[in-house]
Amino acid sequence: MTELLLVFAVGALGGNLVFSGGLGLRYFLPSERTPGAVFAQACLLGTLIALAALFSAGLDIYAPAQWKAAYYRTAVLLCGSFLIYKAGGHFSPLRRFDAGPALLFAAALVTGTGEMPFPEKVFYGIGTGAGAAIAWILSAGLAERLDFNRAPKPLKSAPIFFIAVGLLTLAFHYFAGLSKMCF
Amino acid sequence: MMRDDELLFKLGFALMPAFLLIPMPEGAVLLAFCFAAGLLVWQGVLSPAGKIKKPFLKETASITGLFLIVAGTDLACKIFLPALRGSAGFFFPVVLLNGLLIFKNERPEVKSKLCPVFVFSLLGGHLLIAWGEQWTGSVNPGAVFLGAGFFLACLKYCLQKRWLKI
Repeated sequence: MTELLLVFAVGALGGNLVFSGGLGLRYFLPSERTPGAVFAQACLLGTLIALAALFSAGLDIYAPAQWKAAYYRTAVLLCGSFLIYKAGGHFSPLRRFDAGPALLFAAALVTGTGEMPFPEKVFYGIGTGAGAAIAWILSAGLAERLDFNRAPKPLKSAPIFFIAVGLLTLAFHYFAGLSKMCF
Repeated sequence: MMRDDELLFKLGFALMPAFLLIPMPEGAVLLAFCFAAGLLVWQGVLSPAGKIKKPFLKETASITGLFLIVAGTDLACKIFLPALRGSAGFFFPVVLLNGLLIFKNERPEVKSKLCPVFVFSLLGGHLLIAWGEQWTGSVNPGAVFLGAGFFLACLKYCLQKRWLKI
């Protein structure tokens, strides 16, 4: 059980796709920043990512042996991620978030490629989703703070947001050691 | 949010994965070429798809075009340019998809102006990262974010001065 929790922590913190890969970043508009709305969107995004990762892990188990060498793997994972994202978009205004399918696709690729057994892949997938949800909640808080603080004119909005996310990434970088403990 | 700010956010969101997930400058060259070609081809797909009246069919045609571009580019690169594809890394199709999706809803004029900015920023950024790696061994993702923030600040200054009017 400890190993599974460690794998979950690696997915959520050590290999956080948002902070270590820059995928799935989003600037929350002032109208979207109510705590309930942010939390609901983050939970939905996390669930969708976990589903995409589970889809990929399941395919690796149940698909034929030549699957790993086949070129159609990218196409199937891409198609699956898109379908999962579109289905999830009906429950929440995630449609404004253009890069969503790319994030799901990345999670599916990462989960499907590792040489882990199935239960660890499941925990890794859920951890990846949880990591993205944490990153969205932090980004929304960051955007809220930045809008109410004074910044030099050229640094306002996008530049200061990326600089602040850079500082958060530096903090998250210290969790990268978890991957070395686990793999 | 002002229009310039929105474009800067989009540029940053497209650039960051390209900096962090593409490991070598050779791979960045391949990505830059594929991104520009993919954007052009997808615009070619979107133009006839725009004439379809039913929204479901319209969206299906657009997404199928995107699938074909991303999966086809990945497959073609694996077959014809295996060494370059290897240097582009494991996440090459993800980064390509991310960039194409982010610039999806822009007008063709904006795409034609943003595409060169994206390509040259990507190549310049990768050269800087490679230079940094020579000194330090590996560049922290946080440092890349900070660098991108300051680069966007310079770009915003250029936009304000109307040197680069989008």
